[in-house]
Amino acid sequence: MPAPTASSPALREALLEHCRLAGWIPLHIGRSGQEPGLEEALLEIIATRDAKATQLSLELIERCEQLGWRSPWLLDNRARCLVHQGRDEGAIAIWLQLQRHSDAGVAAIAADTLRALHRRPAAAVQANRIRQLREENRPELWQPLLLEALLEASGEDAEPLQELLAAASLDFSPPPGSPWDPDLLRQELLLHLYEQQLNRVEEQLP
Amino acid sequence: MSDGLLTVMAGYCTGPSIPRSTQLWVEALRRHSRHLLLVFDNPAPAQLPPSWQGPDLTLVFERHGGYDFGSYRLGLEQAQTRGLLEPASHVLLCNDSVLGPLGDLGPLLQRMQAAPDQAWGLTASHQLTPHLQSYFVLLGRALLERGPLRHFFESIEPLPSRYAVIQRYELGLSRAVLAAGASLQAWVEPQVVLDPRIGQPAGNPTAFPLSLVELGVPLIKARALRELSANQEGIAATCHLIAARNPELWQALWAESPQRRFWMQQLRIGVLLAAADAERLPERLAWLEGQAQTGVQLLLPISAAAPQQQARLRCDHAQAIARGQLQLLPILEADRPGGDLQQALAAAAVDWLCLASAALWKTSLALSLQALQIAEQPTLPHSQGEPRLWRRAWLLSQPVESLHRLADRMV
Repeated sequence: MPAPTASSPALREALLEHCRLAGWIPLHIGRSGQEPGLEEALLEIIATRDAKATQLSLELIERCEQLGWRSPWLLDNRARCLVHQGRDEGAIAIWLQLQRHSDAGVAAIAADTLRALHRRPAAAVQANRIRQLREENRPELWQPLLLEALLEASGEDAEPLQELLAAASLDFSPPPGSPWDPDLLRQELLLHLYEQQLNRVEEQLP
Repeated sequence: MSDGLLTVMAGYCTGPSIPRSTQLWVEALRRHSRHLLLVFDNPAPAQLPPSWQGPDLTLVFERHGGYDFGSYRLGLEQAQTRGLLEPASHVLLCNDSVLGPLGDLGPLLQRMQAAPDQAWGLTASHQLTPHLQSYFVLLGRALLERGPLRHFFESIEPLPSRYAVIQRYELGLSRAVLAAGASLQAWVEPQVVLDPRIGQPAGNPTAFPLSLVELGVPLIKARALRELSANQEGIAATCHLIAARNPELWQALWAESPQRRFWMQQLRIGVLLAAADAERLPERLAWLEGQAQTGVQLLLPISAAAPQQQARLRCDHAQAIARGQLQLLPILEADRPGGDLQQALAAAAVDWLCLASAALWKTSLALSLQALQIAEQPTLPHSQGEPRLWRRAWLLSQPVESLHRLADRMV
């Protein structure tokens, strides 16, 4: 592993400056009892993720890497941030790599995490991703994904997706003068999803 | 009125006129601003409120496609051109995605204008990265004139989606403030707003409208009345809050919103059964299935001294209990008249109560009509007519003798 290009105090300095510019008051870096270095950086990375500041968490990881610090725990934390952001594919790629790591502890944790991820039914994974994209207000991404997942899922697996459909349909305001009815809204959303799908297919026709 | 406050409100309106609820928010902003610039991302509607004129008000209707931040940029440019920026000590950037006022804006605005170079938001969030939520941000003009902020506003351009705007500009504004050497100050800091259900910090504070108002925020996000996911504290309780704090605003919302039935369906209503109904539960549950008003629960008081009867009922009606159609209310031996009703009221997890009566079982629509009445007037202690719906909290505040008389009416 190459040596870091920045010393532990320099790493601390850089991360403190980054936190300041992001409006984040560090909970670990530079606090009493903490030694400068990767350990306090990792604690801060976890704290920011726990506070849902996943972008900042990823930025701190990048800052460590830019300064030459390498650790499988940086990668593991990057993957955890990606899961929080609903970007499971990127996370899985990282843990697949860590599964083969020379440190048995790292490899075991990566393998366990992957097993836990794969134990989730496909529909639940999709539902998680769609929920995340809805929270991010990205209809152009979650709407086609929801339709695709609904068409593929069946039986009990489809339940989380149906719940999502019901919840998402409540966000749709009915046209002026129309009655407010949850069943109608659900149908409206489904029709909207199908219409979008057809438009996409039409666009791809020669 | 704040002597030096210039307010830029970003708006969007597709109807033929400006909603009354928006007008009320504009009136509140106007009372506290030296000058108010309303910038809408749409052409002017056919009708404008007659009061929207005067030297302290500038209207801009222009489809620029830049969402709120496009309007903020346009508003600041207009302010500069019209010489409105120079006399201002502070600039408030806000939008029309809120409902208010639900309290006095004065003390809040005064505090936010205490220093010339601070950046304040009503709320802040840690989501993605710490930032002030851009529906209400107040900047000192001295801060606004610093390089990072000038550059930030000049660089705003239309983006393809609302999400992209939030991602780049809402987060970007806070980063620009920090780069300009100021800190992010929030009227309600993110760690202060706790999810009342778990006592942990709430991810998005605006999804907790009752908590925010309790913490001194004089408005709520309009989404909190439209989307379940945007309101973790209950739509019905939020309707009640608005009706209690700003009756005129509530009336406007009721008159112009298509969500009336949604609000009605969110009422938590219980039908308090008589003890004898225990033997007729299948019949009563069938009646419940035929109700137009959804979410109604049957509440059956049962003696705590008869645990086996309770167990049998739980077994026989497990599905109805799991679906939330039936609630069993164990009652200790009541030692005074009306005491059992008082205990049932205390135990029932509903906001509104209807007392079972022979007439009730013969109708399927009457309860809905009563629900409509209380949905429209959420602060009523009880509805008018039969079957009367009683606010549980109000009943609990009544002397036990009154409850006794009420219990006598039950069949």
